[in-house]
Amino acid sequence: MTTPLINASLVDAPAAEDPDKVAASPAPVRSSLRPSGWLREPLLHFIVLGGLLFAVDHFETGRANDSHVIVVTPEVDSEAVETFKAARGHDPSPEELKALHKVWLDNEVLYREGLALQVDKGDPAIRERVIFKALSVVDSNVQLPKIDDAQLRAWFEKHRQKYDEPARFDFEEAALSGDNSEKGVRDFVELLTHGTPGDAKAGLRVFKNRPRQNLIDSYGAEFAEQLAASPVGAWQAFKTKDGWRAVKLDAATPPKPAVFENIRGPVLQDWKDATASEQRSAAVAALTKKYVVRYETRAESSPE
Amino acid sequence: MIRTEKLSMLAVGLCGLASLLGCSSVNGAGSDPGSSSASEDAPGSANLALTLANGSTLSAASYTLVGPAGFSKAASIDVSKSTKISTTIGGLPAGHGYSITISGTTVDGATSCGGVGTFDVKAGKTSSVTIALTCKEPKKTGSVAVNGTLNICPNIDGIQANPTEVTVGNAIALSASAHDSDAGPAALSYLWTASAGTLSDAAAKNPTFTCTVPGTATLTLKVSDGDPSVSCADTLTTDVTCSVSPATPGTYVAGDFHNHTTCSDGSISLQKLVQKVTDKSDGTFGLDWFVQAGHGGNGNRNCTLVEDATLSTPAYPFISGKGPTTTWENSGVTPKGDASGTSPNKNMWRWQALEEFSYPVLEYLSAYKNLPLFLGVETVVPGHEHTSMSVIDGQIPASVASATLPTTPGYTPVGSATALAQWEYCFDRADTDTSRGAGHAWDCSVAGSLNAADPSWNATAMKLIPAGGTGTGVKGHSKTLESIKWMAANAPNTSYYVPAHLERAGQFNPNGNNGFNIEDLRDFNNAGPKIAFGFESQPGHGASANRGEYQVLRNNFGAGVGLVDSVGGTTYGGTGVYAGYVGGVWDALLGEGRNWWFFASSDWHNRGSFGPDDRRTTQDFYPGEYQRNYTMVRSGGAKPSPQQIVDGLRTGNNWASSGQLIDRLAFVACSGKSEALVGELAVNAATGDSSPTADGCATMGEKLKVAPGTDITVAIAVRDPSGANYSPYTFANPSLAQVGISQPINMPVLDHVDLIGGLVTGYKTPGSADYAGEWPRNTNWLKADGTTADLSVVPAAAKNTTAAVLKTFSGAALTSVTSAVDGSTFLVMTFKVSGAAASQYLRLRGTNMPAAVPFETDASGNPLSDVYTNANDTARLRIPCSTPHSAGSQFDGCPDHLASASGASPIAGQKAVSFDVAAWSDVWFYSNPIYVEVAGSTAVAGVP
Repeated sequence: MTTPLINASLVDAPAAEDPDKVAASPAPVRSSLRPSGWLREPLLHFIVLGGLLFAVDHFETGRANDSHVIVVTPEVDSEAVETFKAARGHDPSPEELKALHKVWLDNEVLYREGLALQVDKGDPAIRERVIFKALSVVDSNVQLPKIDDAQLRAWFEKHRQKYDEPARFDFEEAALSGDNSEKGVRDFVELLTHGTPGDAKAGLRVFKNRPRQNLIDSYGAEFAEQLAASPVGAWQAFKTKDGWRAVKLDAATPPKPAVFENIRGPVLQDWKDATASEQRSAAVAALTKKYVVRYETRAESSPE
Repeated sequence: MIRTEKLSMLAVGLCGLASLLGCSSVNGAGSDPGSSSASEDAPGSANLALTLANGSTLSAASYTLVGPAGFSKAASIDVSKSTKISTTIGGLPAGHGYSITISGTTVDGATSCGGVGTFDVKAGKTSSVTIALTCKEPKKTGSVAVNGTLNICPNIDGIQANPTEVTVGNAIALSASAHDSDAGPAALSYLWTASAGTLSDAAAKNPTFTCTVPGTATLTLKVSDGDPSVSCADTLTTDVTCSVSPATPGTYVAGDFHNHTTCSDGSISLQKLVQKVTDKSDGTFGLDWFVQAGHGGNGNRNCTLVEDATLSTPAYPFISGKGPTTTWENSGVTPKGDASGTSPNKNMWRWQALEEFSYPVLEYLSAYKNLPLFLGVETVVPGHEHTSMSVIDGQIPASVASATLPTTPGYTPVGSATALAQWEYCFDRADTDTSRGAGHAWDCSVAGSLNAADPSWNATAMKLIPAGGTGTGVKGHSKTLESIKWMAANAPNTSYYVPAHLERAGQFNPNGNNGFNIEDLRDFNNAGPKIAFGFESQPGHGASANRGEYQVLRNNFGAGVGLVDSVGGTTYGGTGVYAGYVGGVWDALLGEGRNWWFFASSDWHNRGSFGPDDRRTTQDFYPGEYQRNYTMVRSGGAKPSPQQIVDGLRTGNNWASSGQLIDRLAFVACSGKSEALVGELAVNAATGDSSPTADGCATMGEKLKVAPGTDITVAIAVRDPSGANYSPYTFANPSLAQVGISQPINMPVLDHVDLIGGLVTGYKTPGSADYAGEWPRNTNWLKADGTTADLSVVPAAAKNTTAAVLKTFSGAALTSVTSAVDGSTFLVMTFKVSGAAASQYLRLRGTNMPAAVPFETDASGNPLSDVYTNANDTARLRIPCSTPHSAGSQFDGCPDHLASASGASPIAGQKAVSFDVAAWSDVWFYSNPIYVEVAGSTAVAGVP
């Protein structure tokens, strides 16, 4: 099993060399020397996050040095009590609490012995879980810069294609079985035009509100143009990227630009997601610099 | 009459000189002018053979010569190349009173010739003597004294068959009445023969006949009175009918036969897995039957120890500090055989774990929880990757149901998994134990095979252990065929062999242990048609970063070859390319008329980044949580036995659904019936969760026999269950959101059903050009941009170009019918195959994805490569997941663990459909085929 989260970071690194990502950052912030500006600098984030991870690492190392001391903390106690109550509906008796301590202690001993035996090595599930938790540590230390309305609007404009309502089309395809030749489709269209039901052959596919980009992806740009120019209600033979098809346009809705004010909330959330992702990638990229990475596989000769 | 023939005169030259030199040739002075030498060359002419007038041939004669003073001489004369008998005899002492006797017998021994002559010998002279030989040939005629006797031949008066029709497995009483008017020469004898079936006593007058196969059986009776004349015996025939047994009532029951515990590389105990899979409370998945089948080989963990007290049973209580990851040795068990590893973590061979630990627990749980359970193995296959299999002999005998269960720790099983354990020892690639099963003394020989004469045979282990290196795959494949032959010989009705995730490890690699090509599947089915009857082309690991763990450049084929994609590169809507691509490998196998069925599996190991009780997963789903096999098991309403489950799998009357897209399916093809009637059949069957049965109809795994030109009516009834499926997520399906459809991801709606058909053209012959051929590798199939090549690059062996979507049912073509039984709604579809001219098959698939959903389906509704939702390459992620989750929930919006697209992805930086959300987004079902066999066209040989 692979490690997608780390791969994601390696692929993105370093963020500063990605022109799209540089351009995506609010320009006034990058040129400002005000504290609120430099606080948003990725380099500062590297330092802060790297320091935090070092602290975590130091804490874990410290624990390792005291690996023969096991402390049953009040937190263990309260979790055991809560678990017991959830299962049995009442607080544990002293004897039961003692038994719960024993279970926890046994498990802690086994956990430490397991680590000592390195039973976690080669176990993709454990690796995945550790990666996930480490990434959670990274995520929890991501601090998004403040963004004002103008900056958000600028970001929105740059990503407007995501928010604009595209042209949409309702259409039907009268399917043929195994015949996507021009002649076969044109002959069928002739029949359809003269009243043959659309499902007479291999069935009728009905599409509602399909965005223009969908048509380009699934049928090709030529088809999208032809359908847009087609009269409503007429069966037509259209060439698509994988052969000819009998298609009838039922309705077309023109594109509609998005209005920032109407979707400010979702735009802000998207900006947060995108920025957090960039910062996460940058943080992992900074950590990667601690390592000498040598590729011995053909598939990964270098990070993209 | 005795005939005497006078042979031609014999001239014998007699030379008086002691030396041959002094003796002249027959042509020399003193010789009879009429004589010639028999000893001289008569170069090679068989035509000159001495032939008598009666046609007999004389090839040699002999003489005896007696002279004065006791002189005598005898010799033979070669006349094989002479026309006369003549010779010159030298070295005779001069004297008077010689006599010479000549005799000879013809080659055929029938005619004897002889004669005597006398002569004198003078010194230095050659005397001549002519002998008249008399030949006597044997008598050639005789006479007979005729005394006539009379025999009247017997007559059969009639045959009675009572009854004349029974179902297969039942007997018919036969009786004969015959008479012989002259009651001789011997008492009447009877001889019965049957075109099919068995006779209790073929020589009895009144035997019983037992039907063994469906159809007409012709019974022939021959009655003889002892007269040697063949024509004197009387014969009479009669036909009886052997009908298909009326099926024991059955229902489609949901199950899984490929999953793991800590005994192999799973993450939970056997008990926890059984509970998760079969309980019907929240957080469990309520399967109807379950086969626990971990990896073959070995392992050091004891999966029979439970995690906590909630899993305790009287026989197997929770032991504090001893969970399912405790090693065998730390749980007080000593691994047998050539156990590897170091104490206290020594590995136990799977054969021992199966026999001594997993089976007893499973049998106990079967009785304790009244569940249909049995044990299988995901075997590590010689020459290939993995296969789900079992040998059920001995497992869960009926007496388990009435066994008294213990109230204290420990359980002694009633049955055993010894047969499965032996197979595991003998044939699993990862089992290199040579102990012969410790005290078992197992012998892995296969009747009729090379066994000890095979270079790979290990005499200590008494099994094949092929050497590694060059030819590993080829040698391993041979061993695998032996494993199937073993099952065919030793467990012909009690075993199965179903290759698992068979595209994952790439194509077949002759020098490694990788994947399966179509010729391998053909080899398996040929070796054991009742055992190797399908594949798991819909793999488990559905929530993995690579759906199904199918991945580009996944497999290292070694030096000179390098990295090879899983076949097809990825899955396609969660199904491998072999079954997921119309006209591909599955259609090629069905196009032969093989009994090759489609199955799905969970391949449960763990939940990736999450604990086993978390509802999220980045790796596997529990059995029953996402994929289910719905198998027609005919148990008459009782708890299914292992045999009934295996019988159900073998019939192919099975369909698979992911994400609970549908929970009922009836699929039937009939001849001579209206669409309305066949549609009603389908609805009634689906309502009862049973299989449509009617004369002139067939369902999945069966064949409908029709005359040429017959119209075939097909009906399909499905139920799209109401309510939510097992998905924990409630936000709108992000894949459908791309095309403006808002549908909760946990409430998938069946969008359409495709009826797929193809022609049957017969079995391919091993060794022929169209028997073997691998699916195109790497970018020859899956391109860098995520698009694929088409069948034009697939070799003839691995495709069926007649396969196509015959009809897609969507929208108004899905007719709603409300069940009168439970009020639920069924969607009904009908289709007519007009004038079937050739043998063919029909199968189904359906999905919640309409055609032309970006990065999910193409414009014809075919599933696209899952490369666009596989998180291992985030640069190729394409479908945004943009519904934010609330602060307190990971389920009402896109969860945190989804991968974010990166790099060149047009949605880089956005959370993308991936892991479990990818699996829940597009869900599919696949049926097995119905065959139509047209008289005079290709026989559908794989289906009775």
